[in-house]
Amino acid sequence: MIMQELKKLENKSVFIIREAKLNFKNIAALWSMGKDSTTMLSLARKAFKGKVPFPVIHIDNGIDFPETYEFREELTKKWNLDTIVLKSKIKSEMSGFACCGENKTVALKKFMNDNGIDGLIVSIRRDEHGIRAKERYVSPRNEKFEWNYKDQPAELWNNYSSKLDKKGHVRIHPLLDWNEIDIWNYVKAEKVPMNPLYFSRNGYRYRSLGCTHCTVALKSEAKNIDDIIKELETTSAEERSGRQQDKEKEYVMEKLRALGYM
Amino acid sequence: MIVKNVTLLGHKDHGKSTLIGQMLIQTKTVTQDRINEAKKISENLGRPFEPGFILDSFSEERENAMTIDTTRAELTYKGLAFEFIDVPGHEELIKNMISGASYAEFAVLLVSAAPEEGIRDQTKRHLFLARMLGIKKLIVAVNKMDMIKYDQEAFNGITADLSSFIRNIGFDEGNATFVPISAYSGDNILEKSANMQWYTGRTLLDALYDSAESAESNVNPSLRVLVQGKSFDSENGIMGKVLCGEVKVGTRVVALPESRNYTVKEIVSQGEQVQSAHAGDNVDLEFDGKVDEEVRGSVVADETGAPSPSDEIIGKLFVTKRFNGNTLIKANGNEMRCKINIEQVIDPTTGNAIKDSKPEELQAAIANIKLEKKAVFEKSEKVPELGRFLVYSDNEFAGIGIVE
Amino acid sequence: MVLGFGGSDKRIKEIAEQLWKEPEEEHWKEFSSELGKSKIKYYKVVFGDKLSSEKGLKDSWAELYNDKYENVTKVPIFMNKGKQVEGATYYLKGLQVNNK
Repeated sequence: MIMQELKKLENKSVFIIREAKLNFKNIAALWSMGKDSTTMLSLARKAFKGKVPFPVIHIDNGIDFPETYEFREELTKKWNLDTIVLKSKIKSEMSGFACCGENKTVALKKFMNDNGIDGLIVSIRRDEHGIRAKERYVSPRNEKFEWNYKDQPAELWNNYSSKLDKKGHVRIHPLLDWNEIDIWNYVKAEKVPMNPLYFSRNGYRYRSLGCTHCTVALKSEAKNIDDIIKELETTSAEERSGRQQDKEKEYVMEKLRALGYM
Repeated sequence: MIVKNVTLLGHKDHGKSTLIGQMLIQTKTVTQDRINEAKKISENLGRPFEPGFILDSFSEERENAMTIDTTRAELTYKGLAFEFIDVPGHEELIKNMISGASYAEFAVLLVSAAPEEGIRDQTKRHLFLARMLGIKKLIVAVNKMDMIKYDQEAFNGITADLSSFIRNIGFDEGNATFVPISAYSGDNILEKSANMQWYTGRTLLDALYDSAESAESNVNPSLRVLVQGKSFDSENGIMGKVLCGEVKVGTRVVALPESRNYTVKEIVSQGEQVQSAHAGDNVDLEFDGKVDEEVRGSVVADETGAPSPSDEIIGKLFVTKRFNGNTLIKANGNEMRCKINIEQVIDPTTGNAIKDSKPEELQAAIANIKLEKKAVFEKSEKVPELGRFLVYSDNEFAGIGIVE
Repeated sequence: MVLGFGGSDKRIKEIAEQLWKEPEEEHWKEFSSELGKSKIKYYKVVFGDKLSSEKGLKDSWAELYNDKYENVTKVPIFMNKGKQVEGATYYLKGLQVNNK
């Protein structure tokens, strides 16, 4: 049963990734080295005979986990990725979680403008946050990266939207139908390499990864993928969505802002 | 677990969000924390507890008490996972409803039995659209029974009226189930309601479960591969998706509308070299000859029984914006200018033809469509993916169509 | 591999001292290569204040531990790169987060 559903999810995602590459002139993907965007890369390899045919962008504020940097370099080599590291700065005029908020958008905007990127693959999942339920597989953004959720184009029957104007771009969301446990089942089935921070050591693990500043470890004994799947199966959907974790929630909001959602 | 998509249709005040909220509570999908949060929001807005507030949504929606765009919620019942897609009921947002419903496998139609509510034009329009979108299984939830003292006569009245409409628009009546419920107080959602002893049928969730179990899948044996583009690494290759049938190494196929015949030399299905691929698979096909430069939107079919490309189609349209000026249609990566000749305008609230010469917003029509070039279309009941299209007028989305 | 006697740890401590005074990129590179030879296995990043500015970054540090979870030294987590100040946790690559 699980395999059948994963196959369905994989089919749809691969189709969307191919559409993204074949329908737009110049696409790129965001890669945070987390489980979702790494799974997306694994799907892109399936879509294009083992080679990811677009650059993958890491927006780096300089204080990511050392494990994450190591994982970035290992996988870049192993999968022959065109990894682009964009430095985002921690500036004094910013407040709050500025290290991964507005500053990241600044770096991304500049890169996209300089390189004429008209499509950006973002590996958001529908179960991450309420706002995602409003998203489309292909979602236009204007020049300022703004998203007009009230007036979205119709999206049906394999017809996805195009750019709003010359200066805007589209966000492509191939993982929109996946939820957290699907990702882990897929990682297991396809042996997708994973960042070691997800696995418990000394009674703690990370459920979602940001930088060292905004990510908190959760109490967990899940030392491998099977343990994580079991853990997710026995916790309620609510706990999974991280509602009880204020810090986590703040992180998610900030991540959304960074991606131009707010 | 396979997730079953369920679209919720119906008029805006007939209780869709309330129903989803109630189902999430009764199936214990949400925690008490979340319920308390929704209670607090209800209090802050000075209202009685509204189960609909359990859905993740923008505050704007809560304040206006309406759903702005497609909302999704998932629950598990008797081991089956259902994803409910709550589409907005507001007429000007029907465009969004189309996006939501297009992903659904079957639909729940909510009709309020409350005084002054009942079957509305919008209810019927949604049903008409659902039919066009290819939804075959339908559950009609007659809601707000608590507001009419659980009156059996009223329920029977709504059932009779809707049944005749359903027949009129070509829905198989045997595929429609009527359930009297109260989304607000929770009657006949999970458990049989003591308030409606006269009702001997299934509860809403059981009716859903049965529909999901018996939902038929499309098994068209003819091969159709939708071509997305040329291969990156070969002159003789294409990338595409198998819509139906099976493609095998060594078989003869034809690429349409360009009418080029090939033998399939190699198949890669999602990264793996295979001897055959099936409906749903994303494939790289390697042929024994060069493929054209412009192949996006082409179709690869068996040599025998291949469809005939045509620059003219007969379509049934649902209009969301009056056609004005230049029209074009989009289908599976193809974009074509076209001329739409209306043959008959249909009122979607009756299913009957009307005398108008041009369809207005929210009306339907039968049209003869002349395309700027030949393309592959088939009847939507035969190959759904090749039998439907989007209509744009002056670069704005203006409606949907299916090939009749 | 470490040849023992804590010799490398001594060197790490020296470079760490230097990093506090001169967090230049070249010193970080040297630190990183020395780290591979040392007994240091775990790290923990500590933020002095809410990280909302360059100052917040400069007030933060990383604690470094050996394979017995014993604290060896601490280093800043930023570097001077020309006129810019940047985060420098990249140079802790090879270490694992200390969840204790």
